[in-house]
This record gives sequence, C-alpha cells and structure tokens, in this order.
Amino acid sequence: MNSALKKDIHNFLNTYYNFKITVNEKCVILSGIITVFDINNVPWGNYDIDVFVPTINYPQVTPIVVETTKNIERSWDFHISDEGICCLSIPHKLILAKRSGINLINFYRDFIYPFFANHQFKLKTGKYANGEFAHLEQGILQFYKEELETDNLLFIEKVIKTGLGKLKIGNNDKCTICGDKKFKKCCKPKVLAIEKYGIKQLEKDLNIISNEILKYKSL
Amino acid sequence: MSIFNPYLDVIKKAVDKDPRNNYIKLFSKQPESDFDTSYINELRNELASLENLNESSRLVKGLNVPAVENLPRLGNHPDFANLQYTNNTEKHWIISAFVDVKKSTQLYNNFALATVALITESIIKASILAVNLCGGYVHRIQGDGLMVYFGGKNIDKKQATKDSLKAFAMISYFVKNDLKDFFDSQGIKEIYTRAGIDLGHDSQVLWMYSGLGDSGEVTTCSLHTSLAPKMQANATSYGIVTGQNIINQISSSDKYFKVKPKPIWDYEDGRYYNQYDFNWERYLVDNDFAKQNISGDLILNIGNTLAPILNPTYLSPIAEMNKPYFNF
Repeated sequence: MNSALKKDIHNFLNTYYNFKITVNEKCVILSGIITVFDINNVPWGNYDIDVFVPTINYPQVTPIVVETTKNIERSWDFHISDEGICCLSIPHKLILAKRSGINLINFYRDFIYPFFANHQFKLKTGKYANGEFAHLEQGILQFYKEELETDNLLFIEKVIKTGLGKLKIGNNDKCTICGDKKFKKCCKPKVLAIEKYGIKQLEKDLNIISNEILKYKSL
Repeated sequence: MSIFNPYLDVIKKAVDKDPRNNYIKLFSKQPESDFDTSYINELRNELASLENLNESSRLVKGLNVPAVENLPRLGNHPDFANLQYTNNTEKHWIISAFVDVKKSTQLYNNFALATVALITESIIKASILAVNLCGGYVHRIQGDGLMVYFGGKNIDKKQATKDSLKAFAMISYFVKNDLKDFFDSQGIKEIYTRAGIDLGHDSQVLWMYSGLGDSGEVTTCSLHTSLAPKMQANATSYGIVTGQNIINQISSSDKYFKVKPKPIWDYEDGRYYNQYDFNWERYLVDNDFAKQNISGDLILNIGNTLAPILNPTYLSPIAEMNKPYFNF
C-alpha cells in the first residue's frame, strides 16, 4: 500500500465512521453502510456496501463497489450485476477520474453515494433523476452523441479516428471533420477531450460506432 | 427531525424578531428600551416543558417509560438526599461532568439582552433534555454551562458511563451542527462547547452536605470531580475530554479515545492520571445514535420514529450527479 492510499484511507475512515477496512494482496476493502439522505437530511434508505480499492497504481485506479444487502433488485434496469457489482457510471467518466488520480472521499461523493441516491429516486419516481444511458453499446453511442452534441455518426467516427491518430489534421488545415474553419479553431477541442479516454477505450468505441454505421449502410 | 428542533426553532424565531439584529445595526444610537420585546415571553412558553421531555423520552425509550412528574431539584442528588442538612458523609462512585458554551459572549454584540437570555435558556434546556434522557442528574447551572452527575445507587457503573458519553455527545452534536449552522448563517462564528467527564470510584468520592442551612448543596468531594472541569478546559472546540477511569469502563475504547500528551494529574509518587480526547462523533455513529450524509455530517436519529416525508425534489440534486449505465 503506497503512502497516498494510506493517507486517503486514513482520511476516509475518519470522515465516514461506519466503514471498516480489510486488506488483501491486491486491494483494500472498505465495508460499511451508506444511508442516503436528501439535501434536507431526510433519510431515504440504507445499503451495505464493499468498496474494493486496488492497491497497485493508486491513485490511478477505479474502485469496484458491491452492494451486499441486495436492497437493489438484481436486474439490469438497476445497473447492477447478479453479484451486486454496481455500474457506477459510463466507463469514460471513470476513466477520466482514474487518469487524473482518484481521492477516496471525492470518489465516494462523486460516484458511489449518488449511485445509491439515484436508486432511491428511481424507486420513488419510476425514473432516474438525470435520465440513464442505454445499455451496452447503445449507451456508448448515446454518450458520444451527448458529449459531441450531434446525432451524426460519421462525425463522431471522424472525431474518434482523429483522436486515435488514424486521421491526421494539421492545426492550420481546414477541419476535415466538419469541413469548416481551421482545425485548431474548429473540432480540435473535441478531439483533445475524447483523447483523455485513452487508446484502448477509443478503439472499442470506434468499433461500436463503425459497426453502427455499417448497420445503417446495409439498410 | 432532531429532538433538538423545538429549541432551535425558538432560537431562530428569537433572532428573527430581535430588534437589535434588525434595527439597531441600522440605527445604532437607538436604545434597546425603545423596542418591544414582549414576544420573548411567548417564545419562552414555546420552549420544551416537562410534557415535551416525557414525549421525547417515550420516543427514545418506548411508550412504557413512566412519565416524569418533576425533575429533581438542583444541588440535591436524589440518591444522596438523606445527607441534606446533616454532617453525615457517604462514599459512593459518581461520574462528574461539566459542559459550557464558549465564546457565547459575542451574542451580546449582536442581539438584545432578552434575546441573548432566551438563546442561553434554549441551549441550557436542550442540554437538560439530553442529560435527563440519558439518566443523568443536573447538579448546577452556571450561565450557559452545566455541572452534571451520572450514576447513583440503582445504576450500573458501566451503563452510567455510556449514558454520560451519549448525553454529552448529544449536547456537542446540537451545538456543533444545528446551532452552528444557524449562527453561521447569522454571521456569528466560533460558538462551541467544551466538556470534561470523569469517574470517581467508591473509595475516591465522598458525598456530603456542603453549606449552611438552606444555603448549601449535597455535593461530592473528589479528585475526579475536581479534575473534570480541568479536562473541560483542555478540550478542543466541540471537544469532550475524559479521564482514565472512564476509559476503563468502555470496551473497544481504542476506537473512541486518544490519550492527550500531558497527563491531567501527577500523584507525585511516580504515577500519573491520563486524560483522553473522546471521538464522540464516531461514538454516535458506531452506536447507531446518528448516521452520516454525503458530506459526512452527522444526522442524529435518536427519537426519530416518524416515517420521513420523502420528496424527490430534495433528493434530485444528489441523485442527478449519477447517470446510470449497464455493461455486465
């Protein structure tokens, strides 16, 4: 366990008192109870959870959260696996957090707690507070459409290809993604933004987008 | 809803109506006597009475708890009342505890005298509520502070220890959370509690009547009663400091107590008596007296038996930080 993880665990356990720690070879497990309170401190529900924090490469890691009380129905409508692993967010958001280095308290506040608050919201209202991503590949498509503010799959494909270096555009060249201004004043910020998801994820995403385009072309 | 809400509500109303807060800051030369503060008496009537105490007690302990018809008189612990007006003494263990509100004098700069009195009274009454709910006995009131005993002839020492920690944790919670948030919103900073708690065993505490005629009280002569206010003086903001004898009554004490570098007493025979910072917030959470919200702030759940009213509007700001996705 490196010093950054030791420090973060110390701070976490001295902030959230009902979490206990166990350590194994590969990760630290923080086990405890989340009580969801709204902004008026009205309690909504409780969940027992285990947070598995990888020790290697901390803070460049993505913790895995398992809900152990089965208070969340094991159904993909609730974004949880049969084993209770919670799908906290679209992978891209988790990758960004991982690449910039997580802080346990912030990860708890930004990803873990809101996941369970949103489950309570769904139980009460029948829908999620901020909508949801479609499942599997369709969710990735939706993510890019929202992030790049377009439904144009060819545009999305070009942005990802540029991000991967498969399309090369000079700063002062005319933007070949949208065919408008100079690249640096046009789509470059979008390319720079998606580059942060990393080559591995972008390759996967490009595959999904390209397959979707092929589907349209075959129609 | 916190059991302290009725007290906080009165303080809020008093501050809201306070003439000095509203007018005198604008017209600073206008004397307080020019303003009508008759509403204060109405607010005083809103402060919790014995009925409220019984109501809270039933909420916390269950419906079968006998109603308290009157609280015992100060300075006359009921288990040792036989000593009153006599020269008799008795050795018996007791937990002595002191708490007061620091920096409360700045209230005089912000509010009319009547408002300050009502705020102080509200804090004292809220503290008395917590002490009585936890089986303690208020021995003395000193301005915005209390001297309290826990224990007696029909209570187990370990239980009394837990009761004392719970009561003082509740008082600290009230001032650190409910009250602080409100005072912060009024621009009043750094009002906080400090508390000291210590246990004297049978051989270490002598009960006696101290005073002359009616001008006296049934009190204790004990090193540990004397050390409790010294520990209080060593407490940090919102802190509770306890003596070694308290720690010895608590299992898993390592989780809640951290020894202070400097002992509170030197017996001058090579022995020292240690003092400990009590992590009352962890104690409240671990013992299920409180839970924590997203920020880690404590929410007291003592006496919360009513089904909460769930309004998604107030959950939405937290829930919408999450946009779920399924990929298994």
